[in-house]
Amino acid sequence: MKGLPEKILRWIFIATVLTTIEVLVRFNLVDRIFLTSPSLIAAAAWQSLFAGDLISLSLKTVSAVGMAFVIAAGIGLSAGYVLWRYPLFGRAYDELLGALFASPLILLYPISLVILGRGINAIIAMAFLPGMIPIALNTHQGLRDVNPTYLKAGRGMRLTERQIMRHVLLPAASPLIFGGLKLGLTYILISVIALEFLVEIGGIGTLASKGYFWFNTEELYVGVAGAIFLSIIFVYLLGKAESRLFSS
Amino acid sequence: MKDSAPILEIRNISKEYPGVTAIDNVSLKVHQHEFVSIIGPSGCGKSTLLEIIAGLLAKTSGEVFIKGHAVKNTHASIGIVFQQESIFPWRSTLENIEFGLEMHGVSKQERRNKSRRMIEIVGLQGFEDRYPGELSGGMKQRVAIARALVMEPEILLMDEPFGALDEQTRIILGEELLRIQQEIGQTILFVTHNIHEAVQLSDRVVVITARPGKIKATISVDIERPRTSEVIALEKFGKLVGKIWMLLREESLKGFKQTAL
Amino acid sequence: MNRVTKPFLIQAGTVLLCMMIWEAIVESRLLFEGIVPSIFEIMKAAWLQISTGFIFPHLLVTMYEAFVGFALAACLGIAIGIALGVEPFLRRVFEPLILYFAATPKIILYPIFLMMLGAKFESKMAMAGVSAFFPIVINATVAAAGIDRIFIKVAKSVGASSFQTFTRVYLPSTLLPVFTGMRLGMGAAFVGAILGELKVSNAGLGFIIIQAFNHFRIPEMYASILLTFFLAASVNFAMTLMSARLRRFAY
Ligand SMILES: Nc1ncnc2c1ncn2[C@@H]1O[C@H](COP(=O)(O)OP(=O)(O)OP(=O)(O)O)[C@@H](O)[C@H]1O
Ligand SMILES: [Mg+2]
Repeated sequence: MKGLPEKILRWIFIATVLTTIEVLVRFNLVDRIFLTSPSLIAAAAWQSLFAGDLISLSLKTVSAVGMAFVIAAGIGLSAGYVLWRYPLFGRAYDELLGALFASPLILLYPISLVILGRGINAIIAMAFLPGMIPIALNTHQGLRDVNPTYLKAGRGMRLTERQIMRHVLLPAASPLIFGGLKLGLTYILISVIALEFLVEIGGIGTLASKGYFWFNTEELYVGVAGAIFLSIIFVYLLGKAESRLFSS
Repeated sequence: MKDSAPILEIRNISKEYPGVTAIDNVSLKVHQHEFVSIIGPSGCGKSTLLEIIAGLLAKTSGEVFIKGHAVKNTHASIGIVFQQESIFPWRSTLENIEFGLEMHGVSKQERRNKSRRMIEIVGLQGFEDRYPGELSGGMKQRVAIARALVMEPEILLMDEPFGALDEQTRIILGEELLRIQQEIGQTILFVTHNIHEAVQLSDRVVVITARPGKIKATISVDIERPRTSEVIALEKFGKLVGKIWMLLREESLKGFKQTAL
Repeated sequence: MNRVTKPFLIQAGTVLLCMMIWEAIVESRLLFEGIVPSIFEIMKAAWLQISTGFIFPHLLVTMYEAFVGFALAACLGIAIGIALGVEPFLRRVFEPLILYFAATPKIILYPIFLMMLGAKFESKMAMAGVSAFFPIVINATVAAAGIDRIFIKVAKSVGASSFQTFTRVYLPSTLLPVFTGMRLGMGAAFVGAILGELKVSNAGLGFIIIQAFNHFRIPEMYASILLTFFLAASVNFAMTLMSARLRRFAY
């Protein structure tokens, strides 16, 4: 069991933080309007789980993330392939996409709302961009960095272009491509939750916003904790998938 | 001279890493102004020994004495030049050499004077303000040597200081090192895996066994000083090299098998 | 035509083409009428915001919030990052936590900041701070862990104190990667502060964007967003230039 003491210490740290908050709240050392105790949040989350709205809100978020991801992956992967196929455009657009990715894309959301209306389409459109760019860039880089000797070996064995793509290029590039998909999905999730919070159109991100405006501290913290929890689960599953796919 | 008290003495030093005994019960005396080389197969614990003497690494057992006093930590009388490239890439030649003085709060003026003199001694005039990226390997090693020397340590520990250099540069720098030692009067403990270098420079050569490192033999080099690199042509030189190689051969084969495992 | 100019021409051509398509859509009046203004109209609105001085107080507010949050995040992030990088055990304990939280949407914490710090500048500073903290701490950790141990041995061998070792070895040898983290953090701080302003505020760039949005002053909204992007790009560019100058002291 390597890394066991680290894991234990990590959980002890988390438990200490939660207990401290619990104690602070229980002994009325902080105003309950500001901060509520982890146990009360958990109880509220439990209730909300049975009342069904926590689940339905999460599902709404997940489905928006899913749709944005499917579009981003489809366009990102094909764009990456095209950039690789036409290296001159690849060089030119790598820089453009990089610059775009470094800019505060999420601040464009009012435009998206104006054009697409206050609904899930606006959210998907806004989450698409930061999701698609890393997928395209990584796909391009992955294909470009394939060792040319592999390609020569493939041609030497008289494989067709299609066979080379399938049996040489894709497997060799897959770790980077997966890295891009992972990054893209993470950005999509962050964007979707952030937009749900900002615009209040359903989803787990809305809960915190509503809780704040109705002075419902428990609901607020359920919303915050739920959003963080959901993103952590995503990151965890992605990490698991990656280590399973590329462990050898 | 050999009868006087040693400036550096190590007594029964051992070092164990988890699962590996790096050094096994090594004792050695070094006298003032002496130049002693340590030679042994790769991985026999030479660097480990030097870092223990410098107080940079904890030993498992044994003691280090400087002028008769047991020392446990780093010590002002000891300077060390490392095996790896170790000059700071973010400091110019001059700033690198000044580093130790700066740490001890020496005034800027005095720092500059001492470092400039040291730059002359190691022959780096004109490169004071260059950064390491602009220096050759040999120059960088000279900066490292100057950085240690400027602290005026009575004992200088050198861990394969010329290891990464080509043969010609190595011989010339060796010659310069002897000249510097003559000029400043240091005591030098010098690690190498190059037999010619050991004989060219040393008063004594200590041969270490394959891991765990023990002292196998000590050979005196009775070639008079001052020496230049021309000693390489002496018949005596060849004989000493041959003698040391016969001692080392067996150990190197053993060491080779250890690493091949 | 060499390797540099050709891609540049393609880039310029692409941008130009996009602008022409944009104008064509606006002129045709077939799509998005009234919600996508012409580029000239946007430029005019932007010029108006600058020439009347209208935008500057808001610009200052946003910069103030972003810089304060950024400065706090930088101090904390660099100190924690170097501590984690130097001590492998601590790194193994805490780095996974940091990486998990780095991938969460920070804006979700905003209502908490609003309640604790109020709806004025402080809550945006906190937003800027948490947003900037993660890129900085992650880069500082990796940088400090990558320090060549030999440099620390050198410092120790000449008897440097731990404070001296920190300032003369750790800081300079991690300068460039830490600065990269700071550049990313600065961008994140701006986004964090502006997102906060978009939600609840009464001043700042985010405030004027959302005001224009709420009152359907469409060209003004586009203009404010454009100027915000311009500001973010300028800050990023300035910090890139600075890091090119720092390169002299690092390697
Ligand atoms: N931190 C460490 N942990 C475990 N083992 C170590 C450590 N450092 C060194 N060793 C082991 O101790 C032995 C001696 O190492 P050392 O670096 O002193 O050898 P050396 O004689 O200087 O070799 P070389 O000539 O290659 O420089 C080696 O077998 C090495 O694997
Ligand atoms: Mg060594």
